[in-house]
Amino acid sequence: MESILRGAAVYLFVWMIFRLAGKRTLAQISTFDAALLLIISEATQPALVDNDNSFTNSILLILTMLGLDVALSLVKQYSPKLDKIIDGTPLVILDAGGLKKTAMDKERVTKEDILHAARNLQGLPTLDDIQYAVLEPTGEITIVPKRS
Amino acid sequence: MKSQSASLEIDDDAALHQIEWRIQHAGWLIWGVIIAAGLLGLLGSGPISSATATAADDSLSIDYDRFVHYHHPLLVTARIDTSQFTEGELNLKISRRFLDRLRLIRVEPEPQRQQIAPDGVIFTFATADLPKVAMVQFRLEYEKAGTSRGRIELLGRDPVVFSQFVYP
Repeated sequence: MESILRGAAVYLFVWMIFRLAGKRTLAQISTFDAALLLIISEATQPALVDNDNSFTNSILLILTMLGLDVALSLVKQYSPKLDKIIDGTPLVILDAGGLKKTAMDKERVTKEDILHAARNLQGLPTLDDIQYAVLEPTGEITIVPKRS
Repeated sequence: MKSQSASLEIDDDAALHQIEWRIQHAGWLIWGVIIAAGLLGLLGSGPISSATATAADDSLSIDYDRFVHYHHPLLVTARIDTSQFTEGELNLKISRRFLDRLRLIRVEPEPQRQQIAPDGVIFTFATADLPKVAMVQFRLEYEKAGTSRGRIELLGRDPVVFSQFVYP
């Protein structure tokens, strides 16, 4: 029973901490972010296994975490409201009125991030070529180009 | 709430974003408080955690950490003025209730002998082998989380009672 509770607690803690860290935290994984993820997984491991290196414990932990993931996806499917709370919602950061500075500051998005996404995804050179820029719940910036 | 623009079909919920940002900022504050508490020693070793408890008759002092982690080796050090013992040996007793919560890994220096009493374990040291102010170190590891009350005494003298909080 302890393994399952421990697995659930770690799952909820990791979800909560990444939700608190914000959408942009690990949106684009740099070399440093990848190293950080590995360090986080190493730091989480002892809390998960608690000196119990048995096969049974590993199976219980994997089942608990994947089970919670499946359960949450089912909850999100049946309750759009909970879906918004669990994953967050997209946020428009640029529209016809220009850059939305408040939203950008709150989500730690810069003009350069938007320009980078515009170049990378649509080959757009300037902000004037963008109709909408949206910060998705995954942390990715998506671009809708202006129609010519 | 759908986005204002009809050309962009998006579920941009402004009210939820406001709540989210408020919770996020409160979370960052709590996050900072937890890190500060960790630095100060409220979540493990650190300046607030380090403590010394002394027997009423000054026969014994115990250095310990108030906040410790379970399944993590730690030290509890007994400081004894051996000049007060003329019999050639001193007996240090650790209470059974304290020992029941932990695994005693090692005692340094090695005691001459140890015997089990109904309410604890008595460690006997030859005073000739010890300096004037002897440091007896108990290396231990907690196996249960929660508050643990330790009681260590020199037989026939006042006990030292101290408590440790063991984080899971």
